[in-house]
Amino acid sequence: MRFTIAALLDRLRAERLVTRADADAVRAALAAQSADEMPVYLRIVVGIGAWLATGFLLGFFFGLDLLTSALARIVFGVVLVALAVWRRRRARNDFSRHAAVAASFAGQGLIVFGLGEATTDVSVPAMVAVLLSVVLIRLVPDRLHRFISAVVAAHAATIALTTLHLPLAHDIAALLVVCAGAWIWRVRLPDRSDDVDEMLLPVGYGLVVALFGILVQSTFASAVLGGLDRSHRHELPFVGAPSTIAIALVLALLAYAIVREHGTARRHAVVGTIVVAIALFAAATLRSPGIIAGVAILVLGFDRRNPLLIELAVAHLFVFGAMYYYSLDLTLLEKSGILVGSGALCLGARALLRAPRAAPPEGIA
Amino acid sequence: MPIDPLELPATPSRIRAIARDAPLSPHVAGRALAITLATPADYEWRQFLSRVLALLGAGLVLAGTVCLVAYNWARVGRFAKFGLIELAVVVAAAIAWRTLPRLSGQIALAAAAVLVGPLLALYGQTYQTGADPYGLFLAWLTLILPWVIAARFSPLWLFALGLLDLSVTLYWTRVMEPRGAEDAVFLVLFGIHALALLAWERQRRLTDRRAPHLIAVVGFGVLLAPASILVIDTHRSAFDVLGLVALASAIAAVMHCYRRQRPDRFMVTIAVATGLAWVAIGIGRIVFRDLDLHVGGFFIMSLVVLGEIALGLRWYRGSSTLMREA
Repeated sequence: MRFTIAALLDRLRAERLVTRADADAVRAALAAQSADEMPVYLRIVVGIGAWLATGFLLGFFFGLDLLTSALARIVFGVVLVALAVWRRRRARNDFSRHAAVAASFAGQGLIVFGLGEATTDVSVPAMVAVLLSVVLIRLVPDRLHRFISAVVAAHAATIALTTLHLPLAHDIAALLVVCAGAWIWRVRLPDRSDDVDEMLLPVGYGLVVALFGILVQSTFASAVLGGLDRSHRHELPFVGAPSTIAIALVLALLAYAIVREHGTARRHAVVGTIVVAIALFAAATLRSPGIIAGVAILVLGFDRRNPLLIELAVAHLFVFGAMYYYSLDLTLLEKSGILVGSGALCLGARALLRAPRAAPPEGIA
Repeated sequence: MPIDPLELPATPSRIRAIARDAPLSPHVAGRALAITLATPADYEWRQFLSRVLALLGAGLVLAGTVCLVAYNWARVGRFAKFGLIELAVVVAAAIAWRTLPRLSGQIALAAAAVLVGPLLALYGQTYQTGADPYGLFLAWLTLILPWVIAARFSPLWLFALGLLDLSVTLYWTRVMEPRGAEDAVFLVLFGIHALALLAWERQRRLTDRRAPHLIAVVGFGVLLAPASILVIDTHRSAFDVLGLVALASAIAAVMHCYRRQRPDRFMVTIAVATGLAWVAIGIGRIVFRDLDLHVGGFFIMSLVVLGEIALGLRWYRGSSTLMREA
């Protein structure tokens, strides 16, 4: 599944587009570039450190006597964010870069908390947080900052929609995140410039993590508060059938795009079969969107040859599979029927697929 | 991260950078980008879907069966309960017997090994044996050990290691309850993980790096506890001093082994990160307790953490160059 530079060079060599000498030049270029690259585990460690630093900074600012009023916090927060953006765009060393990131989030925290104190309407700070995050994704050239901003924007949008008392607020938020994520990961990829690609990659991961958060929150609420009076349910972070249908539609579109890219003969028949299978699976797991979301991320991860997305999808499926057991929306007997039915559907689809025994085409390892 | 740069994953940003630096002609760069962004080939999709549908289907059917059993659990007699779990163990083991050493066989044997636990729990529940909780996990581990060896499956080895950790912790804290030596359990757990890591690395044919990484992360985590207690807790013991010595030794050993002898940046990173975390805890104690700085302490701590990130990254980049040259 993993597609390496070496495999790519093999393909290009088979097409007589590069020579062995080119491979050495590519190796030298990569060696020079990889000195600045950070693996995922290091990004996680740095991210935890940046959050800690932000927490300490916020503790410091909230403790200052000068910043006790809401207005002072908002004004200081705006100044801090502006300085942080300016600093991050010019910083060359690691200390300045991460100090700017921590200061930016501390400033955003001051603005949002300040607005929360100044108004009684929670939707105002939530919408400001969305706006700030979107603007800063564009302005701050930092992967960690963009990733966290995407997560913050998605969750703040969910809070804003809920406080506006919109029906199906959490489903709408989940739908927005799914659509934005699908666009980032799959639409018009070759047309993107380096800068746009660099900007959207961390946002794509952020949206996958944010969707996970929204669905976990919903499943947890369903397990703990599922027995509540239905008239109060719109106030709780439930997502259900609308999200499942939306994710199933996006999954069907992804499947269509993949089949079209392959130029498969009998395309309509193949797409029709896939759509029916997705519709049946969605119908079986209608009240648990986490499961079909996990499947969609898994398919997307393989399509993009992205091991990290696949790992996130597997975690997704494990968590939602386990949490489904505790959902109070269904009895154990109903759950049993749904799970066995969905499992039988998967096994039936596998039988239909009839995996080929033939070796891969020559030149493609 | 692989040492040979050509083994790095092909990503659009990497292709564009190569096209700039190598350099490649626009036609070749465009073709490279198109190949990288293309969806996997038809046969790859079939293999992937076949595997995913099999795993997902089997998992869902199994989960559905568990729900069905749970629904009827109160109505089932004790012999039927034993029969159900034993049947599941036997079926899983039989599938493993037919399909090992393939992945399906490894998963089946792992399922059989996991089901032994509920069987023992049911036994304890039905006959009220009065056994200590550690006994359940130790008996579980002892019974499945031959299967763990036969399966040659990293996740099952990690599961067995988890059972051992749990048994030792429960025995230490619930049965032994040694006065003044409570923190020694961290050293014992570290010792277990150090031995597990050593055993793993001695077998050079094993290529999976996730299992040793996980063993090391937990090992460093349990060592950080006594080393931190030594710094922040007033009720510290000699075992906490030993914990600090063990932590320093473990960091030194990892740096020695994984920088040049067996290059592994994850191991080195986790060792350095643990060391930096301990330093931050130590400075936090000085700032907040010894110097009694309140608001200003938060500012100093943010600078300390940011300084550590910067130092750590600087060291990482230097170390990466060294490891590439090794």
